[in-house]
Amino acid sequence: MGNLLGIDLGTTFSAMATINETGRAEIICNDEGHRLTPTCVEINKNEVIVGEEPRKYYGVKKQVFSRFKSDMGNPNKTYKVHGKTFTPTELSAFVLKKLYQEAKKRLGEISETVVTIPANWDNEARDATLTAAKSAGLDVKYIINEPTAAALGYAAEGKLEKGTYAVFDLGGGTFDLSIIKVDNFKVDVITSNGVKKLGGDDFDKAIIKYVAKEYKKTANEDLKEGAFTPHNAESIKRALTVRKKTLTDSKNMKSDIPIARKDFEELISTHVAQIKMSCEATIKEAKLKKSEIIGVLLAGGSTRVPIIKSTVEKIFGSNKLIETENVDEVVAKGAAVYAMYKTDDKALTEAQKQRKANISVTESAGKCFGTAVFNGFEIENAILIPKNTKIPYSVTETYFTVDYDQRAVQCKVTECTQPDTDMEFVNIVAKKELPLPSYRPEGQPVEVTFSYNENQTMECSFKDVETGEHREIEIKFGENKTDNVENIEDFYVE
Amino acid sequence: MVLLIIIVIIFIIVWSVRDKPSEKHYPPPPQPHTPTPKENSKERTVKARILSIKLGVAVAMSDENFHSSEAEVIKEWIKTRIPSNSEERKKLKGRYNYALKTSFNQAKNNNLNFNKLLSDLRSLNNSKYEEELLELCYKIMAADNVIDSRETDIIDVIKTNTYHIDKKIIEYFEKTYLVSRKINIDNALLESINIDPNNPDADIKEQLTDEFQKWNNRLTSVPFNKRNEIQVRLDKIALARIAYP
Repeated sequence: MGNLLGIDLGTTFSAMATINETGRAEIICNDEGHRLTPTCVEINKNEVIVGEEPRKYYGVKKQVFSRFKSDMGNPNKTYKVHGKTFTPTELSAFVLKKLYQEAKKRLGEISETVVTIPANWDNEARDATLTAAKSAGLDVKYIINEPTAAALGYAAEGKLEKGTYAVFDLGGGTFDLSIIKVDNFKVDVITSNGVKKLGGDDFDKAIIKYVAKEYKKTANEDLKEGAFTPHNAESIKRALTVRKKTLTDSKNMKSDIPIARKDFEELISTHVAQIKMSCEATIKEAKLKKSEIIGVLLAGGSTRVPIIKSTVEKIFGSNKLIETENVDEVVAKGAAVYAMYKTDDKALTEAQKQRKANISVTESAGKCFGTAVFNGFEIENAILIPKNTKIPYSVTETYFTVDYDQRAVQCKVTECTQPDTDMEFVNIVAKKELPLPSYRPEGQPVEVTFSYNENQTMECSFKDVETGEHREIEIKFGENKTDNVENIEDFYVE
Repeated sequence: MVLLIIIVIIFIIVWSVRDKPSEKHYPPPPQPHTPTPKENSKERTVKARILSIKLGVAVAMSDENFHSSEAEVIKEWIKTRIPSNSEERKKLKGRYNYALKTSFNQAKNNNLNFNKLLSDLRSLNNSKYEEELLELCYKIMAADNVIDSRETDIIDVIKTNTYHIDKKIIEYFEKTYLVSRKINIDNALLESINIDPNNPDADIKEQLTDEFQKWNNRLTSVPFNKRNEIQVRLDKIALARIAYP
């Protein structure tokens, strides 16, 4: 029997889960015995430390890095230490490597690993995550969106009644909302939206700013660097989930600063406004009435913040919150269930096979995919696969050459979250040139076929109908590397 | 005989006072120029204004954008601080423009040392300079009709790190540049995101959501160097939405 692994690579904390012999998901503890591993990396000259120990020094020691997930795929973001430069992908690889190695220690060889990603991520960020996984030595064939994994984590416990749910996933760095249909163990994603940089980390930053400002007033001096760290801010945030008022408690501050829950709520009011708007837009996009959504499945540690809970109730109606699972762990558990769902039956126990037989996941395209065409005046984006199309899906469209003796067609594959025709607002994810024979009149047909499979891999074909000449473009996330890490060992500091 | 005596006397006088051709003639050695108290105070004022320009740029760019209306405020501020005397005007114009240019480039490259500039200004130990700076900063903040939290944060730092500004003056600035503009700012904020503030509240709320969705979707599709511009727009939409719970 092969072992299955689901990894939730979070902005502030990561988790890993497996499927036990009876087919149920369970969390795997790390070497320190904790169920969650802080997504924190300390790079020293002779060693790299990941997890709880560096977390204590985040914001204090310059060689400690965290929150790099938010910048995955951003070619302009790097972290410098000891004369070396690291990308967010490389730092994520350190975390994944620790998780993977410790999972192997607990389980033995792993046959299938699934890594989760936020639903709202762009191609570069998805790509960077899989590149990180590969360079950490993981053989990741499947990825799953975090809210879909959360839904699967809840559904796999068999406690959800049939109906339409919202999955509200607010973690350390990203916010996602998916509308899903659940029928027993079957999960069908209708639509997903999210905000790429919005999460508990933003709440912590707001607290740090506030404390620095109030400290200046009270102690008549600047707050020293490292005196009040993100770790301290997080403690305040946690305290304010149960108390209405609390005090800072840092040895490096002359006086403690009081902070009330209502101050905190005011500090994060623009973030809450963004969450509200994203939820309203998603409900509208799903063409549903609020009353048709029978429950809200919560995921991510930031859903514990009282103003977030009350906002969710305000949007979806009271008494709809479902918290039967641990919000920090449910995504990793769902990823493990998805690993079981995708694994060949031969590698499963009888009990696992039986559970798997009941599970079904239908994803929909999280983005619009299209190609660049000339509309008679300018080049515009023509959508071939609209957002929320059920996948797998295949479509063929015919376009025509526009000039006499046109020698080539520029084949471009575009990606955008809404059906934008303006090329300024679309991401060109791949391009190739299709050469054409000389001296032909205009209006020669070129067939464009897009096939999108359920692992969110796209195969595109551009074919000159007359000659049969064609160009294939495969967009396989994880192979179109953005910041080419070939081997993580190369980046250890000597 | 008398005539002869007179001629001899004249000759002797002329001979005695004439320059000796063999000796070199040097101009007197230059005396070191000790600035007068007036000149000293002038230079300190110029120094303070250079620092104010740089700090003003820091405030303007705290939201990562240098809006043309903010640049216009700084330009006008400089203009009113250059005398009409043509020679001095030329010199000062050069120094102030240079301060504007270097601070803009430094801010763009994240090299503008805000704390150092503020501490340099504070070391000049003059309440007038500090008041002048604070007023400039308030004007800059109000220039684009958007009170960004990053701008208010940086002004708070100025307020708490300067020695000599009277509280009443701060209140006066806040009243002049912020409170009286509050209603206009809300309207201008909506207008800046293409929403008519005269629409009914329910419509505004829906339009804000649609605008948010549109730009949030575009955020992950455009190249990284364009994302900051969109993020600023999203922040404005979120700020406007707070008024429509």
